[in-house]
Amino acid sequence: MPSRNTSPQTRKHSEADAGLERLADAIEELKPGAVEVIGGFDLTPTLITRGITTAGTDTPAAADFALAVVAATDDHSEQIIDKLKGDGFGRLLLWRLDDGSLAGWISVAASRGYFRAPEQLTVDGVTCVLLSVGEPSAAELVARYEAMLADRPALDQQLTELRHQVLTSRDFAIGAEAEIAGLQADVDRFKAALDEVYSSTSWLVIRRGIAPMGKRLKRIGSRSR
Amino acid sequence: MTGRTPLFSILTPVYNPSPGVLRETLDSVIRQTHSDWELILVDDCSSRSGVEDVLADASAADPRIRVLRRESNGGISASSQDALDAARGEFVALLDHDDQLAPQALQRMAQAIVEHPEADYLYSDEDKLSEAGEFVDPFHKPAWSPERLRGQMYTAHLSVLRTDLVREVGGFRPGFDGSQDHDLVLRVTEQARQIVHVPEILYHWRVVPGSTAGETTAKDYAWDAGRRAVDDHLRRLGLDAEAHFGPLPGTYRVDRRLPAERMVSIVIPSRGSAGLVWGQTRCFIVEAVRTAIANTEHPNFEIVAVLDTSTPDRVRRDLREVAGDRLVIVDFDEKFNFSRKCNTGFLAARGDVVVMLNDDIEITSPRWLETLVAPLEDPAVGLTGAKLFYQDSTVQHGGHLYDRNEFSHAFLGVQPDSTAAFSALHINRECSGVTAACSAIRRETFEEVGGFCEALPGNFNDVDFSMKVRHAGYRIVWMAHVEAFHFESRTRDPHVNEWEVEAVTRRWGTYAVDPYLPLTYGQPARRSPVRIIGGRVKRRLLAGLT
Repeated sequence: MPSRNTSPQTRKHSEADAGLERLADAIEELKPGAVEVIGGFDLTPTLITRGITTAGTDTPAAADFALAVVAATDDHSEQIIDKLKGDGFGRLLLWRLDDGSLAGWISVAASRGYFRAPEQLTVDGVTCVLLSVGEPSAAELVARYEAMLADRPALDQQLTELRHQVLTSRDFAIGAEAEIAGLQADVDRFKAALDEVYSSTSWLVIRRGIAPMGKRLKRIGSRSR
Repeated sequence: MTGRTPLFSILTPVYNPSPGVLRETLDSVIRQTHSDWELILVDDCSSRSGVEDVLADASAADPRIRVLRRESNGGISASSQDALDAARGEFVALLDHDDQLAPQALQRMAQAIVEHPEADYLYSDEDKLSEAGEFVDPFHKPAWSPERLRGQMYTAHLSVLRTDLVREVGGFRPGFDGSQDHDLVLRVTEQARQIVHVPEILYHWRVVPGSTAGETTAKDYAWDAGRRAVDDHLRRLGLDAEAHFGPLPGTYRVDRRLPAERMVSIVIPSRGSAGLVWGQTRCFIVEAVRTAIANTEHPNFEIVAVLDTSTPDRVRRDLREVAGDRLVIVDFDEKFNFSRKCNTGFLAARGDVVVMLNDDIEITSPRWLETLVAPLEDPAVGLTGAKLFYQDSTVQHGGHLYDRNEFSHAFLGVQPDSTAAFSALHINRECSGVTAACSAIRRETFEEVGGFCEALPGNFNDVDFSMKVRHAGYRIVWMAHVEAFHFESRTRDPHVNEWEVEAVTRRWGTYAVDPYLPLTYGQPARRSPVRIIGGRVKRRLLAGLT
């Protein structure tokens, strides 16, 4: 019987599908004139559904407003790099499906005239970066990267706060666990002591001898009243 | 007692004892309440008159006693090995020719073996038998402490070992006379599935002039053999370390090497206070950092100073001057919470290892950082601590001591040369906890235990921290050779609140007996009011708790 567990491949695709919707949202916000999809993952149907024009691979892309979306795993990286050689796209969105870094691709893109775009594209949970074609001066490049780095202290602060929360939560959990274990040990100890009492000769004497006598005395007492 | 009890082979090499003393030794075996034993006596060519007669009488009187005679004098290791070769028991027990077993010794060991079927090595408490025939100087031993065994042969008597394992590791090795038992126990414990401490005095070690019981300097050859045995042990374990003679005869100092690439973050919470020490005003944190840097050769460390925002600029400048680029300042603008400050420092630290250091510390040991941190290369060690002294050079911290339902510092107020608790103040050893005033922990262990408990802002946070580290399954090792002055509580209120005691006992309960310094005899009586960690309490807060 085949396993009903989701295979890594299937899981990767469903993650990609979810990412694809978020990516399409982001592309809509960029208001592109046409999008050419290059690479191994076909974004075209999703874009068409949303009314975004997609350019076929044989159609020359509209120079300024074209957006190339790269959606691929490592298997297709060579193919994508080849496509970049054709240029012709104003902006290029690199989207990586796996967990690897985009740094290598960004550097390849830079060698073909694409650099980080001044505007930033935020897509939750999707590893992507927006590049734009041009030959920026060193000063412009620095300004672009510094603008992006300006967000870093806030992110660092957020990260530190989250790590702090992890520490204190873990401390709390360990403390609670220890407290419960201590209480459980007390319960076990008292239960064992109680069992010992119940199995003792004195307890049996009380139960079988004195207790019935007490009941009898009580009965006699109530009759005499 | 239920379960099958084992046959014990008692191994006793004999060489020229007093015949009367030897007879008493044999009588102590015959008086055993457990009857499944054989006694193998190996006479190493004794020349003293009367010895042969005592041995012959004993073997004639009890078929469980066998006497073997060596053809040439071979020393204690060779004689012990002869006895081992002849052993038929499942366990061997080691008995010297002039000592005595307590009558219940083998019975207690048999009970422990039934309760712990995987026990491969068992050891008991012991005392000394004086020339006047009195039992003196009891040694209530710690729970299994591998670090302490490297520092001294603390398990000594009575030692009971699984015979098969003893043979498997090669038995008694020639060349280790005088420390042949230490060498054997090191090799056996490296392989043992379970090691059991029987906390009862089952062995009486006779004080004889010239014996190691009476005069620890009497056997320098034994001391050297012990050092070589520890050195071999370190090599077998693959530890990058070396054994040296310790400060007292019979003790050893293990020096581990800290890899140069190990990044260490020294986290110091402070508000930049100043105070009078030895008649001179000092800024505590500046002096702590200065002495910390001056006493290490480790190349890879940073100083993370967690400073109250009110810390004077002058202090910040002085710190920068002393620590240079190694200094990372983290500002703290909340109300006092030592735990939170430590956690904040940790979150800013980049090190593989974090050293927590109070600002009122003055480091005095060369290579302190290397010595404190290197044991953490062993993944089984979770936390290390240091030996701290008060301004008057009496001991402030010799590890934590959790006993009599209190949390306190071991050896508090004793003189630095005290040999109490069998020289425990002079050897590296496992302990229940260590003060956060000077301690080291791996980054991942700190994270694993959730750092310091911020619900304990002032006192007992280090007790709780130590408990968490042990709860996670790590050993805590107190390092006798990392020394510092601790001008304790000079920079904050030393008062301890009842709720703090309750908070920590609610989590961890209390100890009647400390597992690593049990029955803390040899320590001075507690002062009144009771001196406990972090300060003073007005009364015995925990009295009556179990």
